Amino acid sequence: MLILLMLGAAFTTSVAHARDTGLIFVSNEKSHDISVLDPDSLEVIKTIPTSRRPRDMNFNRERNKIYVACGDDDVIDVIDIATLRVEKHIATGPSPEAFELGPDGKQLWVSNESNATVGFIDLATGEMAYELATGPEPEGVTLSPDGKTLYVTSEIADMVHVVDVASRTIIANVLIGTRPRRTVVSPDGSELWATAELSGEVYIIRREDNQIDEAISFLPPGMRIADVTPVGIATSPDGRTMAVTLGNANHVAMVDIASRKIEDYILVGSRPWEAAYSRDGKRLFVANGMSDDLTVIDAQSGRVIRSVAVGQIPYGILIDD
Amino acid sequence: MELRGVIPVWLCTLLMSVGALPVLAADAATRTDIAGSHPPALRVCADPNNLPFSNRQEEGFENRLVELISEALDRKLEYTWWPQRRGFLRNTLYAGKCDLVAGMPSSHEMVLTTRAYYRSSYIFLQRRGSEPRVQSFDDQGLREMKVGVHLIGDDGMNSPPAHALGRRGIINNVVGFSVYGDYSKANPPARLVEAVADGRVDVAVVWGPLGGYFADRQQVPLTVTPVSPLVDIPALSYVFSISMAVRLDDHELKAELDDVLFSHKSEIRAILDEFNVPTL
Repeated sequence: MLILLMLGAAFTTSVAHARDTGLIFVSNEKSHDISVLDPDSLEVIKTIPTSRRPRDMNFNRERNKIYVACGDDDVIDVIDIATLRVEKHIATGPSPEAFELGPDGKQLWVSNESNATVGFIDLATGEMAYELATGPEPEGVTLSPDGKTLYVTSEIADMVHVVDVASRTIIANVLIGTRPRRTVVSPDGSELWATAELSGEVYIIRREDNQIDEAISFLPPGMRIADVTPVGIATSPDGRTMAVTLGNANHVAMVDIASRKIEDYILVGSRPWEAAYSRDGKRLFVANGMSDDLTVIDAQSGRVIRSVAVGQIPYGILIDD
Repeated sequence: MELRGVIPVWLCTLLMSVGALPVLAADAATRTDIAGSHPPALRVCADPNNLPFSNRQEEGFENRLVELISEALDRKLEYTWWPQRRGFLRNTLYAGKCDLVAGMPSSHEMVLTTRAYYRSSYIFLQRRGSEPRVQSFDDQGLREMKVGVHLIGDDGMNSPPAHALGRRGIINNVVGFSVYGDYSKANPPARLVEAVADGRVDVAVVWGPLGGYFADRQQVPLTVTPVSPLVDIPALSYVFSISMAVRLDDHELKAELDDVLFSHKSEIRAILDEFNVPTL
């Protein structure tokens, strides 16, 4: 246990955290707001109204602002963590969904679903510097830790586009399962893990040659395969576990990264979407889109600590710790 | 943006049926829910003249798949035959004549789709040994050859390969074949494959399962090469996952089908292989 905690600490030292309020932010795509939870009481202490349909969220580099993509108003709202208010809007292409900030925090890449592009926005000017065309319905956007490679999923073409950031070109298309959603780079940097919602799988892609190494299928006990629709994926801070939300199957799968074995299925709320760990790795939070609540899980035991009502159709989770 | 409209359109007869929005017929009452001993029949709508997918003699791979499913679910199989063209869904699934269509693109929005049971792409089809061998829409050779493609052509929508060629300015050397064809002949879309075999075109761009199956049944050997690129940027895909389809609200049947598709993967794989379906 102690060793795990120390490993966790070692993993996080490179990341700047300026404020450490511990606050938990949950974007609610239907009530157009963000629920702010106190980390100790686990109660909603404030609700921040946003532009319409807030979904993916990220911190700025200084970690004193939150960016949230608001799909129905074609903007990214910028929220000041000190005041918990929206302070400005950055225009994007139509229906922004997922986005990622560059390593120096001066630019971001955002998927614009209805345009079939990924836009590159210079944050100094707030202008769209260029757009890169993608396959139909781009969704998940992940930047490699070195900032050199961008991974974009195309829901309709069953693909992960591998983009060379410097040359702004797609250098590979990796066909995975049906309706690819989210991607995450493995803790050692060697793999890309990608969820495929309709085929109920997670694909593991070798980053060195962009080939599929393995596909993991899920079926929680007592559930039907039709309901297994993985979307969210989160790496535990100790680098050992991937938590995968299983959508209509109402469970989160805990996958051991080294062995790629499913170690546990945890029953959560209805249609879990995204998941996030606390920085100390002790708690796992899951946003349940159809039950309008947040499940708080003790990550060590896999036991559910509490369910907290949030806004309507909760989507993403960001923790200021 | 004008290209958005073509994305859901894939060739091979199925999808042309979907141009007109189906009216959601209130057909729950027509479903044969016989109370008591035996389960209701598995009611399938299929094209009676469209190999390798289906025909009235039940020789297609979709026939074989629904047969497998009806056995697994212990439900009697009942067909309603209807040509897969404009109005197909409206006149079949959404008219309450059946509950299942065996092959639709997985991302189709007018129906509830099951897990994908195969994924294929458009392919280049040529006579074996004919030069130059086409590997990509970007090959220079494609500009000099007679290229056959299917055209849909009754509402301005076109097949993905027709768009692929058009985008590259390959127009004057393209020969269009109506995907509807002469329905009094067997399997009308196969005329395009026959045109490759008898030399009327040098190369055809064909939906994989159709090309794979008929390529193997011509007098001369044909080569099958998946198209490249598999997606054209922006937003045009030549690769499609294929699912079974039920009405949008029929979650129960979808779940039953998903169970069977998941538990019978290897049998399904074997059927597809038997029909030379090129998969990705």
